Parts: sequence; structure tokens; C-alpha cells
Amino acid sequence: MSAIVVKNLVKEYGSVRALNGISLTVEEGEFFCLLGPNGAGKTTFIKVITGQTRGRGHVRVLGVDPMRDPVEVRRRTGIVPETESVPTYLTPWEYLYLVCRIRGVEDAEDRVERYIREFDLREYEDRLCKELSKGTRQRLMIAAAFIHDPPLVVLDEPFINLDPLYQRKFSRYFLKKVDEGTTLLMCTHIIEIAQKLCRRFAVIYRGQVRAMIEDGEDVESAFLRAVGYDAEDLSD
Amino acid sequence: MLRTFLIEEYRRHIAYVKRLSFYLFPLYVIAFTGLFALLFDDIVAESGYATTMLTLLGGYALYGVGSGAFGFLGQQYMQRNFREFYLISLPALHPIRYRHTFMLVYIRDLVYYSVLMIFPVTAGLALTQPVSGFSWYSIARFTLCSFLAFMYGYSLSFLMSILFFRNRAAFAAVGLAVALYLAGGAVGVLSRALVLPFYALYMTSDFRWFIVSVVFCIVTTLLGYIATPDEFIFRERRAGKLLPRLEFRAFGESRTLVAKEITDMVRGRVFYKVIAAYVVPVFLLGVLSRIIDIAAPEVYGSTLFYAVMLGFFSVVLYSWLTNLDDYSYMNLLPVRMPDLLRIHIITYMLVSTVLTLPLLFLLSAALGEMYLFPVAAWIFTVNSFYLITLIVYLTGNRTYSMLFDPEVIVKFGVATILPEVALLIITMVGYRDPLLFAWSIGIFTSVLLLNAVLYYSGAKKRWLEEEF
Repeated sequence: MSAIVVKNLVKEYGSVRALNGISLTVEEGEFFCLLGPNGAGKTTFIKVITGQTRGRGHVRVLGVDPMRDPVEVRRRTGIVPETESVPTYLTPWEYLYLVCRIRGVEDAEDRVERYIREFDLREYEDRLCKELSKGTRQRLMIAAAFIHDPPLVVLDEPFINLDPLYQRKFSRYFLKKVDEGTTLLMCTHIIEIAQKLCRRFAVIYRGQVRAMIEDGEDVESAFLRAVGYDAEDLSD
Repeated sequence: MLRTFLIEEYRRHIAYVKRLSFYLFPLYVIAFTGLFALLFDDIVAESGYATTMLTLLGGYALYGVGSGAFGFLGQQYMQRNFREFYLISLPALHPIRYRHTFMLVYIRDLVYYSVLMIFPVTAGLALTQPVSGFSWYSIARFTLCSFLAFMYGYSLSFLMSILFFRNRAAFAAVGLAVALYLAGGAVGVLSRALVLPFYALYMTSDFRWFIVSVVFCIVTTLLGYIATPDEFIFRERRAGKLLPRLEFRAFGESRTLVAKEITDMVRGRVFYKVIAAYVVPVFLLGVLSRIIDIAAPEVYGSTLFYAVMLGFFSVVLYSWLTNLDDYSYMNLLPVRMPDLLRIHIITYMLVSTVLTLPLLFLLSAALGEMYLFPVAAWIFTVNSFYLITLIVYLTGNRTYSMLFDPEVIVKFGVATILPEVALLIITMVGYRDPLLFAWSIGIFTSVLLLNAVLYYSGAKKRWLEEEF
């Protein structure tokens, strides 16, 4: 069964068409990657499929239409946003607790304790979120996205602000979650990391899917071709 | 540099409201002033010339108090988890001092308030001059005095807000001195002209009061400028697990989010501001009413009057509630805007009731009207519930837009002035005819409650699709 089905999705901001007829499918249990340069429409795509904003077209996420029932889609998914968006006056412990309570997680306190430990947040658990470093906030956002064991997690530039150690650690963590059956959709423009983690890729450029790349292809070359460059154009 | 700050402010306004609304704002002010000018003789006949002018100029001073406290805002811009970068925080990255950026904001806001409010009033008076018959001299005199009155509140507020986060002891000491100074004028120990020199200037045209007013504004502004720190060091705060301790079962499914709002208020130190929002207006109201000798004691001094006024002031609390946190993370959770608005209303009613009822109790005891306390508590609760649902309906979670959007201001004005005036009139009747009072207050508060329910239902539909 498909976790995400999108057909001919259009999103306009005034006269600007951010998404221009995107169609793609993400299967359950796969680690799918959306590649694209800055401003290609990746974040807008994520916002539409998670019900954060409305678009036009056919969208089903875990069988639910996010434009009709955005709350249900967000109940079933975890989202790591592009910017680390955390509450100003809560501590990481309290934020994770709040997420658990809103999402109806039983034994919320035990769950929070486990995630604080697993995500190395113990030494920051009593600091206010606004005072955390960007990298620590990013770890907190990733923890908040996974804490309710959702069947689908959408990751918008999850490695941004993370040091190489945590990039490795979270790469392993994501692969472990996929092995356990979680579907992951990741947006990034860091091709090297994406290539190590994902099996299928879609290249978005100017609001359209310009290429689908399957495992085994040279992702970088295919990406550059899709956005109108040749690898030789960028060589020294 | 100032030009860049002005452009930033202009773009922020445009981001809050439609461009057309921004340009229409001074026109609304001109129209309202023109109407006021035409009715001026009737108002003076009813209230007296001195009272009318004091109320008008006192209103400008209070407006200045509300506008000049951007020391708080400046601090928030730097400290809070905003998504935008504001020019006031330039010193964090560039070789410029905070006192310079704060002074630029001071001048910038002064320009905006003058262009959007003070000078349109003059234009309204000037345009209706052939009909109202005001002399050009009195229009010019009023413009000057209203500007000085605004500056009086604005510069004082600037200084106090800077002191608040620079040095709490200095803030308390200066605050006490200012309170004693105003109280001295209210009870007649100090010359009232010395306390309100802009008013004395208007009434007497004595140039000395112009000098006093200008010196006061320059000194407070300079002190604020000097007191602005060179760096903002936000000490890392350790915080315990407060949120779970504030989850009260009585709030059902809303309890976690209500607990989160209260946690924000505690850690965002909103309670200081709330107390200031209640105590300062009530105090200033007391000062004004004492200075206005002709004030009818059964109106200005009554518990029921304060119940209505406190309900009105407490609305400021909602504005802070919506501006306390960056709620964008809620886009990631299974909640929608009406859920947050419901939480805001619950929190607002809880906090405003807990804070205001003791104050009302003390006021009724001080006025020897304890028997009126239950009615006053009921009036306060219903009135604030009505006002808050109206604000929620009009502004959702963007209450600050109310300060800029003329459409919202007009709608808010229409929906509040009539009920508030009616409520005040009914509370005055209470002293004369208890039976009539009981009936009228019962019917009127029921109508307010019904309207509140309608506003709330409307707000749920209106803001359903709104992003956080």
C-alpha cells in the first residue's frame, strides 16, 4: 500500500506558483528522498501533504486527505520542520511531554525519559528551549517527531545544524526506523547523505518533478541534469 | 539609518494589515476628529470645558504610556524565538550600540504615531474649522499640547521600560517616585499644573509650562538613552518540570495546553506586566478622577464603575497571551487554530479572574461598598468574557494587528463603546433604583453572554484554516 499518493498538486501564493502539478507516490516502509535546489518547492510540498497549508489536486497521506482532515494527518505523522521551531518558554523535557499529551501517548513521562536519554538531551532537559543551540534544538525536533511512534515521518532538511557525529548517529537511527516499518520522506539538498540512506529519489525543480531516480543510478549526475546543469559545468 | 528603520516599520505594518487599511488609518482619524469637533459644544455643555480638555489631553498621555514601552518589546525581539530579524538587534552582529538602535526606534515610533494619529487629529480639526468655529490659534495650541502630552507619557514609559530590565531596584525606586509625584498632584500636595504641565499650558497659555513639559520629556528621554545597556546578556535559566504540575483535571482535555500557557506566563514574567496593566491604569484613573474635581463620586468612585473598567483593561492580557510565544511549532501537531483560541480564552478567564477579583474586593472594601462586590464580580466576569470573545473573533491569534488595522479598530469600537457605555449607565442607576438595576443588569449581562457565545462560534469558523 502507498503511504503518500499525490496527483497533479498545485499550490499558489498569489501570482507565484510554488507547486506546478506535482505527482508522486511513496510506498509504505520506504525511505524516499525529495531532492531539489533552494526554492524548488520542497518545503511547500511538505506543508501541503501534512495539512499545514492547502493546495489543489489529489493528495492522500496514509489514506487521509490532508486538505479535508489535516488534524488526522498530523495525528498519524511526525514532522521535522526546516526551521527548528520550538516553544519559547518550555524545557526540552516539557516540550516532549506536551507533544506526548497532545498526541495521546500513554505513559507520557516514561516515554519522555526514554527519548531524553536516547537523543542525548539529559544535560539540557532543564534549560529553556529558546536558550538551546541550533543543533540541540534540531535533535529535540527530531525526538518530537518520532516520540509517538508514527507510521510516517516527514523530514525537512533533518541534518541541518547537526555536527558530523550526530549526522551519522541520526542516519543510523533513520535506517533503523525504516527497518522497523516506518515510512520516511526526507527533503534535502545534501546529495551525499541522501544517497547513502534512500533508495528512491524525486528531483523537484520550479514546482515540478523533473526526474525520478531509482537505486543504482548516479544520483548527483541525474540531479544536475534535472535542474539543467551538467556535472562538467560545475567542475573546477 | 533612520530611513531604514522607518522602512522596516512600514513593511511590518503592511505585513499586519492590508496596504489600503494602513493608508486609510489617518483618514479614519481625520473623520472621527471632525465628528468630535462638530459635537464639541454639546460635549462641553455636558462635561464642562476643563474636564473635557483634561480627559482629551490625559488620554494622549495614557496613549503615550502605552506606546513608549518598547523597551519590553525590544527585549522580546532579541530574546524570543522569533523567526524574523529586527533592526533593533543589529548591535548583536554589527558595530553599533543598543542605545543607538533603541533611540532610532524611539524616533521611528514617534514619527509613526505623529503621522498616523497626532497630525491627522490636527487635520480633522482644521478641515472642520469653518463649521466648528475653532480659532486657528486654539487648533495650533491643542496640537502642541496634545503632542507634549503624548511625549510626556511616551518618554516616561520609555525610561521605565528600560529601567525595568536594566535594574529592577532602580525601576522600583523611580516607579515609586513617579507614583508619589502623580498621587501628590491628585491629592493637592503638589501643584496639579506641575504634575500635568501640558494641561496647564493649554489652559493658561503660560509659556513656563511649555518649558516644564519640554524639560520633562528631554530629561526622561536622555535618562532612558543613558540607561540603555550596551549588551543584552540573557542569563541561562534552569527550569524544573512545571508543566505537569499545572495540569488541572478541571480543564479536561484542554488541561495540558492551559498548563503550557500558564507556564509561558510564569516564565515570560507576564504577571509583572499584567499587574502593571491593572494597577497603573486604575491608579491613573484614580489620579485623573481626583484631579477632575467635578467628577461625580457615584460614578468615578464606585465599585461597579471599576468592575466595568477592569473588565476593559484586562483585555490587554489577551494581547500578551497571543504574543508570548512563537506558535509555529503547533503546525506540526494535531491541533488547529480554534483549539489554541479556546485555550487562550480559558487561560485568560482563569488568570484575569484570579488577578482581578482580589483587586475588586480590595476596591469595594476601600470604598465601603462590600455589599456590591458580588454584583461587581459578575459584571466584571461577563464583561471581560464578552470583550475577549469579540477580540478573538476579530483578531484570532494576531491581536497585535488590532493596533494597526483600522477596520478592526472600527469594528471593535462599534461593538464595545455602546455596550460599555450602557453598562456604565446601568451601574450608575444601581445607586438610585435597586430594582430597576437588578432587572437591567440581569437582562443586559444575558445579552452580552449570548453575544459572547455567538462571537465564539463565529471565531471557530473564521479562524479554522489559519496557520499558526
